[in-house]
Amino acid sequence: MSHGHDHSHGSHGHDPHGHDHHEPGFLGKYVFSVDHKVIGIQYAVTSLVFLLVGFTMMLIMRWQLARPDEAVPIIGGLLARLGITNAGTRSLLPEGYNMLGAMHGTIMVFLGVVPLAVGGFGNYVMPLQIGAKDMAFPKLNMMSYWVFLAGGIVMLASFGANGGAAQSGWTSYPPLSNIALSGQTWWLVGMVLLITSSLLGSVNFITTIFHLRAKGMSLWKMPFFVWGQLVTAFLLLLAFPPLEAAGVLQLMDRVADTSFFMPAGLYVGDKPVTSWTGGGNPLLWQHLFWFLAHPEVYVLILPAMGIVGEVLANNTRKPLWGYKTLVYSIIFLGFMSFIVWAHHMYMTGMGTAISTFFQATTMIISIPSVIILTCFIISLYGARIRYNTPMLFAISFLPMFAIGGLTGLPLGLAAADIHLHDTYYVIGHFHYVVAPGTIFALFAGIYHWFPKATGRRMNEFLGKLHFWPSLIGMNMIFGPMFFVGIAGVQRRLWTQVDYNLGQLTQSWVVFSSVGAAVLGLAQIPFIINFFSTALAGRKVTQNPWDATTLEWAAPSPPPHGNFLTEPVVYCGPYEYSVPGKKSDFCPQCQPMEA
Amino acid sequence: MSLLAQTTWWLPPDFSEHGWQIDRLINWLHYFMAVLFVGWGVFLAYCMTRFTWKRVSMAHYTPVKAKASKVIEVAVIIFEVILLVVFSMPVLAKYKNEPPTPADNPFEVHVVAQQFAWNIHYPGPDGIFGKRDIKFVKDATNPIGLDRDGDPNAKDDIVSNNQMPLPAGRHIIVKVTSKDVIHSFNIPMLRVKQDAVPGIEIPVWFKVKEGTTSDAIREQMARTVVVPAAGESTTAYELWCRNNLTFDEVKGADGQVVLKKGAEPGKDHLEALRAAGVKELRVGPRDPVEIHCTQLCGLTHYKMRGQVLIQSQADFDKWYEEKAKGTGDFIED
Amino acid sequence: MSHELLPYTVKPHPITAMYSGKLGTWLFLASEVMLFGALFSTYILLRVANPVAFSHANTHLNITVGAINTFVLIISSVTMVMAWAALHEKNLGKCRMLLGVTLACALFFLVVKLVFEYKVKWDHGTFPSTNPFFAIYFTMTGLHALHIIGGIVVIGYFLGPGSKLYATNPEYYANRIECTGLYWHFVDIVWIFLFPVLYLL
Ligand code: HEA
Ligand code: HEA
Ligand code: CUA
Ligand SMILES: [Cu+2]
Repeated sequence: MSHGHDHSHGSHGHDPHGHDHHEPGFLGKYVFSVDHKVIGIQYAVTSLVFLLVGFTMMLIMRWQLARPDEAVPIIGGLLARLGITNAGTRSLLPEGYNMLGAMHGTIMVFLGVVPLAVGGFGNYVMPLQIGAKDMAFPKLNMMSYWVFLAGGIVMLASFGANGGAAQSGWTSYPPLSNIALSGQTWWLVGMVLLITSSLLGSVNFITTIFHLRAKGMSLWKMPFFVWGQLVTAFLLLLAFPPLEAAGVLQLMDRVADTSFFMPAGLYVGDKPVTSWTGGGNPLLWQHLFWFLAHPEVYVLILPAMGIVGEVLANNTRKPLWGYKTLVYSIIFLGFMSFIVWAHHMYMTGMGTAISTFFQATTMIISIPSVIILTCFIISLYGARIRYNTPMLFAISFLPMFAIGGLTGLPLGLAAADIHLHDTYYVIGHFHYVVAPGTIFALFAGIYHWFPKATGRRMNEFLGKLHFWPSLIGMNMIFGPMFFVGIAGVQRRLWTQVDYNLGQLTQSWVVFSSVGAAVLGLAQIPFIINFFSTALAGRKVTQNPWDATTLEWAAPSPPPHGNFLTEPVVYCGPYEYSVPGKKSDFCPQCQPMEA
Repeated sequence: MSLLAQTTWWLPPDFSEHGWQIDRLINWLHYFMAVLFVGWGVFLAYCMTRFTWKRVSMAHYTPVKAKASKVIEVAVIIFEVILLVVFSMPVLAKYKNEPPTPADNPFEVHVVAQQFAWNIHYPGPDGIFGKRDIKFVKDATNPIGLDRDGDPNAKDDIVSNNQMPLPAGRHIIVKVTSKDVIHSFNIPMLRVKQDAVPGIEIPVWFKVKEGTTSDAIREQMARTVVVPAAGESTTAYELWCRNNLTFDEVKGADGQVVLKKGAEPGKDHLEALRAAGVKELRVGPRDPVEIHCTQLCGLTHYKMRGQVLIQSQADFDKWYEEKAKGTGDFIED
Repeated sequence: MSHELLPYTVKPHPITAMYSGKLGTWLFLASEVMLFGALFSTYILLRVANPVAFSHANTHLNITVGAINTFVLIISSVTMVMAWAALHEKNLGKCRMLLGVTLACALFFLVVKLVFEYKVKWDHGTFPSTNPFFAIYFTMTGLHALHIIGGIVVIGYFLGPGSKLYATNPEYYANRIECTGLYWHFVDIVWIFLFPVLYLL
């Protein structure tokens, strides 16, 4: 695995005399392909399926929250076989709730959003945007996908483990996770595979961006999306290994009875704990976990911001305002994201000196986000906005991310966090950034680049039928969570109606669940649109959006090797509406004079 | 929809002395966020409607000079710094670094969390906590492993399960720890939260406002429940009656008591209530101040609830003496 | 800027002055640093929390065996460099011979580790679960041993079937050996940190 260079001959295999004219068979072309575009599509489709799975889990949970102890409709009986619902009443069991919750978080983050944003869009679009023929290590790229898939399968298969899937939250805090049933071991193995896949991918991305840019494509001419992918790759590269280490330590604790996370003198259930000698510290896990997981949240948002930047520039028909500022901001964001992790741990009893440090860094890290958003909004000033479906999703990203980001501030100040920590306020905060934020950006990307990948453009009417109810549904789900959280109701509750404060907020909870149903229905037009367009959508030209960046200079879909002639880059990525030009856009690969 | 009318929109009531500072910070933050959001939102809406494909023939290539954005960004930074330095750090420092001194005559309680209960350990009248050791732990009778026989200081100790009587108006120090996994000791209505980490004992301190009692809080949180007519859905009614007590005595037509004052109304009484012609009932929570566990701690994390019983110092002392005389323990199932 | 598309080139890139394989290897090693960094942090934390276990436990380690192994690994690093240098002298035979020595050292290291360290401990009833010191000892040396095994596989490959590449593209083969070397030095350096930290401190 250490040998990236093993694969540097890529599609040539070990035979240095290329056989470019040798057509690979079906398997080589669509399944074990080394073409970054095929791999990108594999990633994208797989992760969309995982997103749907993760969402379905949440629909079941939202059902239980709104209708405590009532039979889960339709699949209630099926779920009983997995020990998730009660075989008799078919209602969701508490252990089922905990399994689905842990798996929802894990799947959404590690198997849904990151593989779609990085594996899917990064793989497909980034090499095209920098004018490369492929990734630097095509075979390594293929391997990343298969390792990722293996990790995903292990995760899903863990529902069949003795006692079911992991139930300790996506955060897997020990000692709870140490004493958990075997599903937790599966979770750890799955995570190690996913981490390995991410590491392979990030090595590949960084090398590609540094080495394979087309002639004339200087760093400052790279599209913002590529910058987003570059910073993301560095975050993955450097933040994931500590979690891998933590995963190994937890595996040791579980399998070899070491006590990395186990203090002495525990008494679990009705027995003193004797299989662990003690001497460890449960908080160590939290430090290692959040050292990854905070950068990870920027891994979730940076590619999304990149997509939004592309779509905004294209549909405002003007250059992004403050392109360089944007780039500096995300680089700074990347750096800072390594030193804010303990803002997730204010309540663990850390001293005030440490928490002051982390409060300060947390406030500092919010500044580049403010700047990024400011640049995006000012980009709209003096624009000529074209409201197509990708633009609708991209533009609504702005206020949605703003809500999510702003509500991060009260969490970042430890005094306010005393009341808000681990309540639904946190759930509301981060879902606004990852769901109507990142997921919307990803939808924008799908609508935007679908014509590139298939040569067909998605239906606008269905697109709008997807957008509007999704926007409403998202806000119905996550808006009320702020009220539930501020009222003091904690997260991860199978039911909250036994609490006095929970009774007062139950109607919000019902409202949220209705929103989830709306959001679910809103995905039907999308799924129809997706498949019907792929099979029989309206054919479009190579550059249907009149866009400037290099990917639109390749045929749609691009052939193996991408460009018919080697692209040469003459100008910046967003030369729209240049005064004195006939058309309102100047592609990067054409001299401005032309 | 009758439910929505009784929904809360903001912070729960606060009965601690320090809580207002946290609330003030939360409120200020939200004003600040609202201003930013509305400000930018108006600008966004303006751009979205003004610069459309139809209304503009060509976008502006040269970037606008946006001094305002710099001003706003700097203003945001300044405001965040103020919030951090003036409102968050001192509050936290006080919450964390300034325990009550002996001169404040604080009252110390230990909390030992376990799956899935709060064990509250009082030192008894001698004011000294008896030794705990896991080798004495017996789930049903001695959940915290108090050395009752070996340690004379343990003789008068009181151990309680989920019930936490506390005096109002006195400084209280709670030392929080756990027997098994990580829990989080949270009393939202006292603005207290502290993770219970096994292997470590972490203190938190607070003071319940002078004059507060659980009974008074119940009164304050009282609400009206509509008794559903025959044939109507009873879901909402049952929800509102869960763990709630009535304030009114209800008598039937024959003068017989249908529902005592302070009883828990519920499905069982529904028929009788209807028969007595009762349309509405005033109820309040049985134990208004609850201890939540905010850290996922396993299967029934969702029902790891405790109750704080706030009393006057005098009432509390009476209870305390009484308990210490008996077995010392009151452990409910 | 780059003057040509460089997907499969062996030449150094004008900006990074590295060919892609080398840049990739360095990036991979950066992530490895983070991995072992996290484990060393864990070591420090455990040591601070368990001074007694740590100060006594390492007396149960065999410093002589550890020192021999350290020495052997250093030798193997040297022979690894020499193998690469041999390719610059266009001497594949010598290169393969030196790779063979490296491989032998690696195997020696593993066997010693397994037979004279792990097995001895297991026979004495010392396991990772014995105390925090042995937990981190077995975890870190075990992970390091996995890295050695990885190195053995790769070196073995280039010594055997992989060396056919030399006939058709010697420069490319040399690059692969160089990257393998980088990795091997890293594994060596990790051990050079592990040895004093676990055996001597
Ligand atoms: C993509 C993901 C993402 C992003 C971008 C962020 C961004 C931020 N997060 Fe969030 N966070 C999460 C994902 C994310 N977070 C997750 C998943 C968790 C919970 C994990 C768990 O416990 O399970 C979490 C939890 C979390 C906590 C821990 C809470 C707790 O457990 O008690 C904290 C505390 O400091 C925090 C803070 C912040 C801050 C200050 C930002 C800042 O970077 C935000 C900066 C942005 C702004 C300040 C917005 C700027 C707005 C404007 C300029 C207005 C513009 C207006 C219009 C357009 C109308 N986050
Ligand atoms: C990236 C991360 C991410 C995303 C996108 C989401 C998305 C959603 N989340 Fe999730 N959530 C988490 C990460 C995420 N979540 C995490 C980390 C937790 C904490 C877990 C824990 O406690 O440990 C959590 C917890 C969590 C809770 C709290 C549970 C609890 O504490 O008890 C809730 C409650 O409502 C919730 C709801 C939702 C909903 C309704 C969505 C919706 O927005 C979902 C939207 C998704 C879609 C709309 C699907 C789109 C896909 C398609 C349409 C497929 C098309 C397919 C093809 C074309 C092939 N989430
Ligand atoms: Cu105890 Cu949750
Ligand atoms: Cu964070």
